[in-house]
Amino acid sequence: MTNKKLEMKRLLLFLFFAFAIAWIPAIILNKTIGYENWFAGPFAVFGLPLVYAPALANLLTRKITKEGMQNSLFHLRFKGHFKYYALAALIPLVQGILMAVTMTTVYGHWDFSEIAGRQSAAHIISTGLIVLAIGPLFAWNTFGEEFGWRAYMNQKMEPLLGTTGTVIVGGIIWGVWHAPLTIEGHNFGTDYPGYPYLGIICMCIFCIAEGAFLMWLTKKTGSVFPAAIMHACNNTGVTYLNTWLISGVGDPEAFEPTIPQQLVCMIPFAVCAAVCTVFMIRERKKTATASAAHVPAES
Amino acid sequence: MTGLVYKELRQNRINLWAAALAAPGFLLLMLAFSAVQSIAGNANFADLYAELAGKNDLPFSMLQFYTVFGPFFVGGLVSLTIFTQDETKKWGYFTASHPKGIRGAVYAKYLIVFLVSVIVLFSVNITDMILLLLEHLILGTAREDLVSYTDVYAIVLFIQLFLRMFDIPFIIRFGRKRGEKVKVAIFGFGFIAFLVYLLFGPLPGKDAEIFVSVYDWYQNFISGKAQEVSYCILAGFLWLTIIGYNISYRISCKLYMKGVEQYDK
Repeated sequence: MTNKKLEMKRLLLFLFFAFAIAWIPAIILNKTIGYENWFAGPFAVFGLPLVYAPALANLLTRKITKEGMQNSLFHLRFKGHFKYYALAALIPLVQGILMAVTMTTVYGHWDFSEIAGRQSAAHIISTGLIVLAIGPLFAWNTFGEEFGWRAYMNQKMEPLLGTTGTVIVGGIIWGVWHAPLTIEGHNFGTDYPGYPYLGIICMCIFCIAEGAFLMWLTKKTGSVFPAAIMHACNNTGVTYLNTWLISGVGDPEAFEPTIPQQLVCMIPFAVCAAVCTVFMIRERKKTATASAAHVPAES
Repeated sequence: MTGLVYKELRQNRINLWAAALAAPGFLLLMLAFSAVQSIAGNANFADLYAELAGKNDLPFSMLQFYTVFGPFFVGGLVSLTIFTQDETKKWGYFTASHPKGIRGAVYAKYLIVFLVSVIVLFSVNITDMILLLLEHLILGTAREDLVSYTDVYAIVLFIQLFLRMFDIPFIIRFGRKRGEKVKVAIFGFGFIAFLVYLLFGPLPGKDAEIFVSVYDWYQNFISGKAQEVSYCILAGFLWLTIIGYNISYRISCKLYMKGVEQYDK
């Protein structure tokens, strides 16, 4: 079997496991005890294997195809990569700010007295510092996904589809993988035109943009942990910290943008993700040229 | 570096397992105790469980206290034993001579101490999920009334790291046994000096107004009025711990060889 064929076989096997381990119990749990009860309710412990499905798929594929644990990216690589760890916590914050600024600019209007009157600067800064300190600790919760998607799927996909293909196809796969939750209204509710397909498509677009940053962090550090930290900070509400920046839309806590509005607000973040992808493409080309010329690549 | 971390993981695998299994272990122990009582016919299992899980106007039940905060205590004990294994002169000199040197060895120790805390946090969060499930199934508590303290556990982790950032340099400089004594002596002396100052030293304001304002602030704090101040204090504490842990590592690197000179063998 050629190397490409073997890699493709491994990738398909990984995807089969990642979807089967997550979807079968998710569908059963949704039908039997209901989404609210297992995702954030008393039966949450049953939902735990689901978020670890990609990690389990990674381990199972490696075991079955006798791949071993090389390139597992299960290293901290903290020394010399501290800035990427810091960026992992800060990117969701920037993402939130970009979304809030776009939302106010496009759908509201800049009313600085409203912004200043909502919360004091001390409160905003202290809340931000608390979330930034505690958020990364919840990487234990997101490690399961990142150890599968970033540490395995992306590595297998990049030689087959290239960097851009990996960002797009990988993002779509990641977005579709969330479908059992999206259908239950986890991300966008259930009351919108085009339910549930529009929600799933929107989730895929979000995952493409988010995935570009996660892939960039993983490639830069050679470690899966910064991606897990960024994902954890995103989940623990760093992004939503910026409601104080939104003005002219009434109560920002109560303001629920529609899916098209959310997509518009995501444009600046998507542009940053595209820039991130360009960086990755350039770096890959540089590495390929360096290895072709037998010159050691810059670390 | 990977080698040093691997060495620590191998050497401390029992400690790491202890940290991971402490929370479910405590829970099993308490459930087994209730089950034995129930089988012996002393009381109904559900009643015993209700007694253990009852909060009695406290923020935590006894069950939560033992299964959640107990493991953090175990984690604290475990992280202190990590240092005793290498308290020999030969290892100290070898450490100083290899490429990663003292910094690498001390870094690996600090990393493992942090890892122990994260493992405890992971295990405690899962045990907390099991507690919520049991509370729902045995006591019939509704989903909306179930309370999880996930964020509090993260803060407890920071308290643990805060304590370790003081402990570790003392252990490295004076060894495990003497280090504890020296630390208690220094902090004890500092505390007595502080008390003496409070009794006889000049205090801000007239007639010990400082105590009144501290008491007022405390009253506001517990009644939830000083939320903004408490957020600032919490943020300050968390970042003080992060920065302090890093400074503690640097101090420990500087003290390492002085400590090695004092080892018995």
